[in-house]
Amino acid sequence: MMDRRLIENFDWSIIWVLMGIICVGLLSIYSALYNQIQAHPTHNLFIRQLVWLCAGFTLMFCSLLGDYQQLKRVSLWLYLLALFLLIAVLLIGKDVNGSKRWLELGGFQFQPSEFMKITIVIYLASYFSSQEASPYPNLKKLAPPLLFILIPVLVILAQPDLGTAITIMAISATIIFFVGIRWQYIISGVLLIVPLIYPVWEHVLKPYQKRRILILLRPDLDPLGAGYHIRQSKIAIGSGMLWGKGFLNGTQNKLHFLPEKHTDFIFSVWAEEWGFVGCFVLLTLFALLILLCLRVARRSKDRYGSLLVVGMTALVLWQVLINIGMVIGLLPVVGITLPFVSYGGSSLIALCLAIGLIENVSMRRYIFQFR
Amino acid sequence: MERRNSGKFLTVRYSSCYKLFNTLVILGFCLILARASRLQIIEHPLWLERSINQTETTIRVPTYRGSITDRQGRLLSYSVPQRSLFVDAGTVGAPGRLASLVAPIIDESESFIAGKLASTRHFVWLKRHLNDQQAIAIENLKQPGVNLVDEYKRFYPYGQVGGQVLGFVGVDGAGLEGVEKGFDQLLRENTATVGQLRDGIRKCLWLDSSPPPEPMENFGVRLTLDAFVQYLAEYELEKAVRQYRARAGEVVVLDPQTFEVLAMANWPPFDPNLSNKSSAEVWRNRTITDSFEPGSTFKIFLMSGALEEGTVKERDRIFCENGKVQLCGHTINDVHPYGWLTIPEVIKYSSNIAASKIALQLGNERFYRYIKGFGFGTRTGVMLPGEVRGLVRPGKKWRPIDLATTGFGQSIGVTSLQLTSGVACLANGGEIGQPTIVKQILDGQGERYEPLHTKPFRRVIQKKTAQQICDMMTAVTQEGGTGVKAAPDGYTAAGKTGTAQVLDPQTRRYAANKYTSIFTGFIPADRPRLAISVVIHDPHGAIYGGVVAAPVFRNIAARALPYLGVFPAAGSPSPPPGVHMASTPHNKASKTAAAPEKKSSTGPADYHAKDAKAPPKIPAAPEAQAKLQLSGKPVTVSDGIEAMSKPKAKVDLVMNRVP
Repeated sequence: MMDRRLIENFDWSIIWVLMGIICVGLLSIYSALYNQIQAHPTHNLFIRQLVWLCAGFTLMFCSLLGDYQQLKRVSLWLYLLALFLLIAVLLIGKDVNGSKRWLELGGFQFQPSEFMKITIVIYLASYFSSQEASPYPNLKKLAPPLLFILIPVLVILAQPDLGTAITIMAISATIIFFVGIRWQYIISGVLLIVPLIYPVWEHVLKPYQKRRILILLRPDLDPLGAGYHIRQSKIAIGSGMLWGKGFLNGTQNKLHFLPEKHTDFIFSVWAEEWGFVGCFVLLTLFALLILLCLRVARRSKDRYGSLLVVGMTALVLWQVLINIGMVIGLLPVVGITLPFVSYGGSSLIALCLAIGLIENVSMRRYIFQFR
Repeated sequence: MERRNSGKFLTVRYSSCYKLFNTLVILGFCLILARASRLQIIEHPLWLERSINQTETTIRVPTYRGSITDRQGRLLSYSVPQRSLFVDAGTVGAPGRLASLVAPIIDESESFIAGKLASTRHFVWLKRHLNDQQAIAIENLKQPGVNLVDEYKRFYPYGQVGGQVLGFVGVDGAGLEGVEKGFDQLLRENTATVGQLRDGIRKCLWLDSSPPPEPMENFGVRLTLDAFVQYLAEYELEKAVRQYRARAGEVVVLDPQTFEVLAMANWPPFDPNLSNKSSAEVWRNRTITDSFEPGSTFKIFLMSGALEEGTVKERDRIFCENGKVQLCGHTINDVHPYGWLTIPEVIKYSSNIAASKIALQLGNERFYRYIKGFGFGTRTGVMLPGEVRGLVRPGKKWRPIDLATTGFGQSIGVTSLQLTSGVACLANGGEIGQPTIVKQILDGQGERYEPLHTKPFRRVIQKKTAQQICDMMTAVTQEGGTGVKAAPDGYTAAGKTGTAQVLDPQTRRYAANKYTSIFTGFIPADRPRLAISVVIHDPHGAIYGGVVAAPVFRNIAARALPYLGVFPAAGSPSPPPGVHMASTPHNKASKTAAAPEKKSSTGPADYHAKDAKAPPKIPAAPEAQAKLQLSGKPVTVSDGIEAMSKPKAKVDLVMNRVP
């Protein structure tokens, strides 16, 4: 079934870089969850992350088997399934910290919004590569995908999960940007959004969200309230200095100053213990991963594959940029995890599938003709 | 056959899109890296400081009174936790029943307790410093309003040894006398500030490796005193005082090289453990609080001044008027009449007439300068409370007769510490230092914290002069001198006897039959290790310093010197009594271990190496034989406390504080 050609075109460099990132992730999670690991050596989130990782790699392998072209046909159904699950979350989801994001399925929890990210990429890629859509689509051609983006975004915002909604919008924007969009639309979009800023600020944003944005401008405002997360994160990163405090020696982490340390703020744990050198290594790995994936996109056989890879790459890229930007104090605090590093089963599986699809496109970048 | 993808979808715009995107990605990552480098490299001191500020906090930990040790580290005074009983009289249910329950446990009468319970106050001490059996029995009563609180009781394991030097502590923990008072600021219970890790919810973090701090010991002091030498001094003093039925006595032992006080013995004795039953008469440290006329011992200081100033030469001769002379309208007598005496002979035979003549020759101003130079008339600064200056009138106000009598130690008052310090100055080649009683300040773990700074040594007389005086003082303890009894076998001692009349405070005249017997000197004469002064007030049966005080000097020196590693010269007839010569330390140890019983049967005068390390036996109080007295908190008691009351019951008791 696996042709020799297919294996030859498999992009190993992506896998090696990915392995590097995952190692960083495991080291960070081990450190972040150290107290828990000491308390329950056999039953902790670190072990679960390892299990998720195995599952993710299995799925990644499975995703290599079929031809990505076949996804074109089922893309709408996948999208509808994901949308159905998202709505189900709103109805019967598990409430954690005031937001409904998880679905209990057969004993384990699962986050449909993560799968929405993948299915929307698949859907948009197939839509824009189909015959009816041409580069620089007009408004009539642009309307259905915009609607398809808007519905899940609104559902996810209702959970509420601002981070995932922003990610989905950013991914979609990237795909549309690659497809090609007329200047008029961009300008009119901007003109449409600018007058909305004030009413949104006044009426839509919740007070805590407003404060999080204000904190960016004045970092020392409210260090124990809204500024707490970002201040602790900056203390962790800054006190890591050039070489870091050493593995398992991060006091910000171990003494519970860092919030959400094994998920959203995992980068601070890494930066505190491994210093600027560690940050440099991790960021280089991510940049390499993105650039390698973009190379796959450029080399791919057709427009569909290319858009698919661009979308999946954007999925990783935007999460990395927003997460690290937030942790390091460049962006307001939103709940976005760091791909392959943060703890999280659904996210890990979705990302493994994304990488699997990128590899799938890479493997099938030659057209086979049989006589 | 295959055909490579021509990339027909890759329009120029599409490829430039990739390039743009690649650039944006790299720019994004560079932005983040720039931000990271700002936080981690440029601004790192700020963030590090913030990190330390929020993870570290200080907490206050109670400290209990620090210990006092001797120079070898033997604990002379320390605090042990003991529980005290108090009642909240307002909440006690049935006072009568409670009184009958508590009374037998704490050995108080029921009516006494009922009286205390009749109060309406919320805090009434019933009894402080219970022993542990009592505390456990009280706990087991489980009566409302009856409470125990941890207090620390001061304990002096060596009993009376060094009692007046150590002083004592009041029931509320304040040092009231001696070192306990002088260093109270340092020793007293207090709180210490300790750095502590804190976690994100501002709770202190107790790890296995750093548990919550227990009450800590405060700073302690390490004295220059040596418990063994101190015991020796007290023992010999007691022997002499008892033999001559004296009123009081003092011994000071000083190291003439460092001016560290090795012993300060007083009679009558004082046991700080029993301070509540004592009076100032016994707890006073007479060696610094009482001054006396030094008598003939003062001639050595006169002679130092005279030789240094050149008013007499060593080869001069002085006519001693055959024992009686009229000077300045007063009659001065010698004990034995002498004719012409050389200068060394004046010291050796201790002629008052010669001393008067030398003093008159030296003159008020110069003699006064040397008196002050040797430290008389000023506090030595030994860092003990209650030290007096002594009695030295300014030289300008002296009448001629005052000058003459000061020459042989009358109309002047010195303390025994001043006297010893002056002699130590001669032993030290004419340089005087500040006598010290405290060697170091120790922190709670017994580690050296800081040494004490003392005044630098000061030259009083030239080394040559000091040597001449030393030779004269050596002659005193040799055949024909007044202090023959001061020289132990195998050592050469240097010293001076003194027998001072005592001024009756009522009549302002010298009492007919009251004397102070004094011997002061140092040993060995050639390389002095000990400067010792023995002062015995009001002896009966014999009065002369050479008879009463000199043997005390000899006995202390004979035992203290081998202990300090100075052994008698080879060829001496026999080792001093009680000193067991041993070729190697190993041999010594085995010997003492083998026959301790036999040695102790010869009486307390017998010391062996073991005594030097172990506290001397304190006579047990009569009650102590019937009851087992324990202190400290028991951690585990096998078979329970009841088992202890059964005869021959075997109980394993583990204490958490080993003194």
